[in-house]
Amino acid sequence: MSGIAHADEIGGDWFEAGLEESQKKFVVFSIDDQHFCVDIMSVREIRAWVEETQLPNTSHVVRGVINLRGEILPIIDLRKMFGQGATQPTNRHVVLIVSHEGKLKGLLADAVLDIVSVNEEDIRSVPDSIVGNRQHFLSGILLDDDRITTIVALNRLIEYAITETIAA
Amino acid sequence: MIDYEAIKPTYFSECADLLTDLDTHFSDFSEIDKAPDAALGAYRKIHSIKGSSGVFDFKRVITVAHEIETLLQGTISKEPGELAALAATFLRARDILSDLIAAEQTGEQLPGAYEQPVLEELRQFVSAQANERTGQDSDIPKDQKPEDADPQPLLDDVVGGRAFVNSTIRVERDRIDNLINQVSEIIISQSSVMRHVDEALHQSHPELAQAISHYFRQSVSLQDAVMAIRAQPIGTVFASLPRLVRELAAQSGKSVRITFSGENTEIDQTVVQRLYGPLTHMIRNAVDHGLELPVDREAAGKHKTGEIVVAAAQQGECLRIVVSDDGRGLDAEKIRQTAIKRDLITETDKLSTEEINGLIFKSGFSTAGRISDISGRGIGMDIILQDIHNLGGRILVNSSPGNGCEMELILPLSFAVIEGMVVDIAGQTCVLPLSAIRQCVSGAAAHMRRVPDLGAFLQLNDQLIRFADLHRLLQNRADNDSGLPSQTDSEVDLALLVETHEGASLAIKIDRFLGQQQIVVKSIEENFTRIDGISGATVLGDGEIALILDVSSIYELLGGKIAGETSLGEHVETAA
Repeated sequence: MSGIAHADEIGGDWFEAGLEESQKKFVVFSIDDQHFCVDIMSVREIRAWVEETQLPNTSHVVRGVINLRGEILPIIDLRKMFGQGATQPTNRHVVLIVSHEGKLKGLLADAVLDIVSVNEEDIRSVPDSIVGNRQHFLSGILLDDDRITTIVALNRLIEYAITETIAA
Repeated sequence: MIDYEAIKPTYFSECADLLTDLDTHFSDFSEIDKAPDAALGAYRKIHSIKGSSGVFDFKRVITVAHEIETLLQGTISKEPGELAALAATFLRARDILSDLIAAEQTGEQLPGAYEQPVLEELRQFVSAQANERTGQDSDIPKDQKPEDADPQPLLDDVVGGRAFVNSTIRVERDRIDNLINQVSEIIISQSSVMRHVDEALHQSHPELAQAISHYFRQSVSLQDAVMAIRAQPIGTVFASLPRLVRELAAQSGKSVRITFSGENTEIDQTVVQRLYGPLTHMIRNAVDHGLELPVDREAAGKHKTGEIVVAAAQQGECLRIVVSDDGRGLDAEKIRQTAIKRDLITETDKLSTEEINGLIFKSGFSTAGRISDISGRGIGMDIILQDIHNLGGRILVNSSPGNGCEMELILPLSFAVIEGMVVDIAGQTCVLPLSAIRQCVSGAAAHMRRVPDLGAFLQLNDQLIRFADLHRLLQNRADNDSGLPSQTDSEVDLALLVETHEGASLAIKIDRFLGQQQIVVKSIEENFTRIDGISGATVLGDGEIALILDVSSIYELLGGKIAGETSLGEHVETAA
């Protein structure tokens, strides 16, 4: 049994369940058959995918912008970020609205799977076996039985999207 | 029971205003006609600061304020000349006071002796005055000890929640911004409703159509009234400039006078703050590079004191600010030579005087003979231009050698809501700011000309205007299958003639006109970053996002001005 507590184990009110000092909560989502997660403190809301308005002269990982209650924010295609090609989204796909340095961004993924609670000491560093530029955008991994869930380094991901756009 | 913590924010923002006024008053001590009024005004302001600081027992603040007040008391009835001599001391004391108050706000601990030097200076002047005085009475009540200051009347104002001295009210900025956002959303909904109010509705439901139109007009009034809340007189930006001029003049050994007009011209709050930088830069350049030393001025037959005039006025939908000096003016030949040396133009390029003068805005340009620590070298003008562009405005320069220099800033009065033309470009809905549109051309195909190596142009009235086919231009960088769909060579019919900030012309191909309407500008930069070619986005009545095109940026993306563009006539070939 790993040190990772899943939403259904914590019980109904997982949001209210007290977090111990050294625990972190993550939102787990999938792209194809791979599991990823992001710190729950960054996630503002989760929405169904809607069509973006395309932007010119922008990084290839940014699909475009959407209107969220009057604010315009960019949608980043995570599948493309991790080098698996462009997503063909439907309204079954999800967008995680995250806040980073006070700015909102949308992350396009296939589905949201779970909320997990993890002890800090159970977070492992990214092994060298994960090759290529993907490694740069990951900040750690979670091991649950045989399941690997990689933690997304949100800041580096966003920085990439912005830098690429400025260079465009 | 008074909640001191709750009234502190009011105290700090009141002090900020009073300190700004003190800055103006003390700076005015150098002007003979303004000095007496300034002294009285300063006295009242420092008395207020001292009094309200007493409420919170900010001892260090009170001590400095008291010394300033005492010295002012003794100075009020003096000759303007004596006031001028004390101006520098008062300004330094004001700065120290400002620092002490700021420290109370942030909790910073300033060194114990921080205010000592200025206190010494003030006290020296005070005792010098006391020695002169032969026991004459002043008609202003004397407070010898800080504790005598009566904070009570001030406190009543603050605690009672009433306005301070005049009929203004303090509102948190967030509340105003929220109100503005709500009104913006109303405008969007309103556009959506108005789309349905057409002739047919007037026929079938005349009363409904009329009621909606009436409601629409009222919404417009509401919007104007709300936007007016954020308006501030441009004088608030001007307030700190006289002092800047004094310091720059002193540093450079020049004699400079600055005057203002149109201080009451109202501009949107958002523009006020962003104007401060460019105006400061322009004043620095005028003092540092434009104005000559007194001896040189007299040799040229000018008065030894250089003059800078800042004039603001509203002109239609725009704000026009002119900063002019009567200095040495721009030397077009020298600029041309420097531009050639810096590889900005070549020997053979033919440029008009305006175009040559405009070169000073290019990055990396400077004719300053030596590095001056006031304006640095070669960085001033292009930053000013960038700031003004970011405000949606432009700069025009008018100058001739020996006759000074006049810089005209033209800015939109508000950049939160603009008048826009909604168009369809290759299937994508875009918006062009109405202020950038000069003309609409139909049947443009007949006027198309192709120039080898340079591209397509529209010929109108002997002018060749660069033609922009945006669906090839506005493409995602590494992704040619997204972005605007490209079109095969179809007949060009509709084109909009637009003008960039620098006055360059561009013709943009349009597929359809979708109407003119008020556009609420939404920032893309806020949650993302600046996008080339785009100045923002808007949400249309049906919820769709439309991109607002940035004409100047598009012009740059096309390569900017081609050297020798005006001599294209020889290369023209008719389109096949």
